[in-house]
Amino acid sequence: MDNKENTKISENKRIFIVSAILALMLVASIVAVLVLQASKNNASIAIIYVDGEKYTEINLEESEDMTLTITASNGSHNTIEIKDHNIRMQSAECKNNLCVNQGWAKDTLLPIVCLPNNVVITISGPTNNDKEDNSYDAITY
Amino acid sequence: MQSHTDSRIKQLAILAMFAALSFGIYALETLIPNPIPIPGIKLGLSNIIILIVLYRYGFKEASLVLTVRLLLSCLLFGTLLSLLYSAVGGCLCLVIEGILNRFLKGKAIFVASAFGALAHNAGQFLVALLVTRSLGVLVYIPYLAIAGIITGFLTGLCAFFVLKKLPKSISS
Repeated sequence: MDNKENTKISENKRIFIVSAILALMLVASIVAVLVLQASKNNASIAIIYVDGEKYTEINLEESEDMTLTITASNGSHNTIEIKDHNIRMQSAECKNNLCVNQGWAKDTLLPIVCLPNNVVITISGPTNNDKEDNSYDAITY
Repeated sequence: MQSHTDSRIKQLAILAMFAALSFGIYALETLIPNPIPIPGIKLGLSNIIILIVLYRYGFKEASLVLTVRLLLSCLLFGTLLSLLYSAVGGCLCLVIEGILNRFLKGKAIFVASAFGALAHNAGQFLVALLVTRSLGVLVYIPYLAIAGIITGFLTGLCAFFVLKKLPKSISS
């Protein structure tokens, strides 16, 4: 009887411990999201990565309107559009088109990521005074 | 001996049914448009079936159902890369849920499910890191963690209620 009671208590304790960890993670994530949202800033250097390597870097402030088609290593094409100093994934040959739905990128917070074709657009730039290297050598178009 | 073979056949049929259910739910879920344009956020409904099999039958049986689901979904919808994403995510999810199932002695299935969803996200982040080799994707971690905890909890609740109603006779 006593033994049964003990296992019952430890069972509840276990559930409590695991739930507490979960709640902590949830709170930590919410705090992290709030901090990230607060720390986002507008910048104007778009860097495009294809297959993990830097493909090109575009200064959006100086760039004219254009589209850029990238052929990924799996043969799919991604079209990136720059319009009025904004950048977005205009179209992508993939199943769910999440990157297209992300719309225009204007802040440093969330990169536009096309996982199926491995194309990433990140925004960084002079307003970012952390580890980003501001003194870039050249801007390629 | 005869009854032993019978029960093996019965189990095979039931597990095949669960695998088909899991795949069917997975296929249906791809038809649901994603309201939040953050890559990696999804309901993970097919995990309800994996959870049910894990809690009713065991880890080995659940891994079998998961394997069938992964291979079928890759053949019909995916690419090799998407198989890598879902396989790493799915396996990590199952391992974590299996461990928590033991630790919690089959109780609080929704908590185990939420952790499973987090593990699934973690697995996909690992692959995304390896594939894109860009640390930029890591900013998504808190967003996906919140989504994972919520969706994992909800799918866990679904599994909880199904397990309550599911007749014991089909799992003997």
